[in-house]
Amino acid sequence: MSDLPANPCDASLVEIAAALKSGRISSAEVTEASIDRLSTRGAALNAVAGLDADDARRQAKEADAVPGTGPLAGVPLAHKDMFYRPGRVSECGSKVRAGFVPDVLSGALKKLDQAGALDIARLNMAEFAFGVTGHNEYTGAVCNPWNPAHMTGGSSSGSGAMVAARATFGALGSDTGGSVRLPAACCGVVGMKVTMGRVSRYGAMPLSHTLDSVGPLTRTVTDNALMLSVIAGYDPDDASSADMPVTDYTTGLEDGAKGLTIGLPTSHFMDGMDDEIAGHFEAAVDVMKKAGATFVDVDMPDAIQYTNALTSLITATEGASLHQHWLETRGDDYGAQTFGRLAGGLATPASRYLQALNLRTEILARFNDMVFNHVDMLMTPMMIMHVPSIAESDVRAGPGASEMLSKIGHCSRPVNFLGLPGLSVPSGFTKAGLPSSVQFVGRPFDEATLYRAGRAYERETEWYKTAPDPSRWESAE
Amino acid sequence: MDQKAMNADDAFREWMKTVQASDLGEREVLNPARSGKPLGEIVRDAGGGLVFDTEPPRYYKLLRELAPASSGK
Repeated sequence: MSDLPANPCDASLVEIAAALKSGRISSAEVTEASIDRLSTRGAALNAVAGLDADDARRQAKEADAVPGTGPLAGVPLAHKDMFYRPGRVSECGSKVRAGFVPDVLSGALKKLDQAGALDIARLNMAEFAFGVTGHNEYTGAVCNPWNPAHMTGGSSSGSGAMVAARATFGALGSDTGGSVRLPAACCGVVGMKVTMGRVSRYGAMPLSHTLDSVGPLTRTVTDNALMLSVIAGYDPDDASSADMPVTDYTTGLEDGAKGLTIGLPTSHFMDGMDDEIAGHFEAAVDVMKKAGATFVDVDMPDAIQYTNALTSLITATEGASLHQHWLETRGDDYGAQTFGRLAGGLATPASRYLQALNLRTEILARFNDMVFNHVDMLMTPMMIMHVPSIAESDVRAGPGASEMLSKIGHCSRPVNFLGLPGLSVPSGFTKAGLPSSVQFVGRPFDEATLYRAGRAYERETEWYKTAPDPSRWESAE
Repeated sequence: MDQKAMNADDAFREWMKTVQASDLGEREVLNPARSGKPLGEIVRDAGGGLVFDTEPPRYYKLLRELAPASSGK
């Protein structure tokens, strides 16, 4: 077994879980290191919403006193500030929910608790998880660890930043239109958007009942598979939870790309792609070919071009149904973009909303016929553009906002509309030193095959071994 | 604001009051941050007239049927 790095936070989730299990390190030591990183790097990058160091130390002490047998025993984690824990504040990145203390335990947190993980911090996020850039007019923008002047992506902005900055080993995020995969892509980490129903959404702040999903952000594919193995599965408290068998996603990870048939979409996903990003994507395809995967061009249903806008429509309409009272009574407490997009949902005709929902069945059926009858998965860029700066993506509710948000979510939102699993995996760095990523999109409930492909790519490229340079934030630390 | 725009805003506000029981007006609701293309146009173009006899719950059944375990893959 390899030695741990000098700072245990630089180990992967799998490595630190194994070290804790073998007794090579205590939970108190790991937790202290994570508290330090979350405090310093979290402050420098504006990524932490709340950290109770005394409570974290108490959790670690308990874990060391009675060592657990769960797969994450003693591992300190931190999550997006929207997963409810009784008695603990959960502000959902908003002024409206400032000081809100829930009385229920999130289904995903419950499973992490059962696996022995500690929950030591709340991470910043887009206001009410409704934003793909990482801006937040109330808490401020989270900064990208690779270049603090650039956006993290959203809405799980703090989760992406703190996993990339080696401050936490993994973090929960939520993904309604790309909110796990986009911050993963912008911050150079791995993010899984699960199949609708795969992970409990109970006790997670809702935005869109139709599209919300809960998923992990981690540094490596193997870490991600471990975390999903813990949180996946039926939850009787979540009516939308799927009573489907759960695989141990860590088995079969090393099976390689040989034998996989991967589809390259002939339309939509590559439309409008930046030249540099296109080069990265072609290089990633070549890596997978050399690793043994077979590639086939696959046509997309014509309707795929509308799924980005349909996702936006459904989210705004369902979000408006949840927020109407606050929009009317506390409008000034919302950021302009969040308010504008949610208020817009109040004007959606019910008939059009229901037609948009009906279309999911039609388009999924066509997508399955055209794609999964021929290939095991689809490979796409995760974003068609470079990671923009915080300034250039600060569109708020001004002119051009819709276009900017649509462009950022170009490859992510169709996957939410279809309800399929999508895995974002880092694929290198642009000349500006910012991450690029690819996306694998699979059959419903086939996250395992996506992990196999992602791991095959990661094994060949090892981008995860490159860490952001913290000296960029040293002045702030 | 010209008379025509004011009347349109009044009409919208009236519709919001009558239908949504809301005091929000056109300028608050029809914000540039929402989708640029008319919603009805998006739904109509995406549908292609094929959605006459479906209903939303069918989607969840299909999702489970397409899982590898269900399809035998």
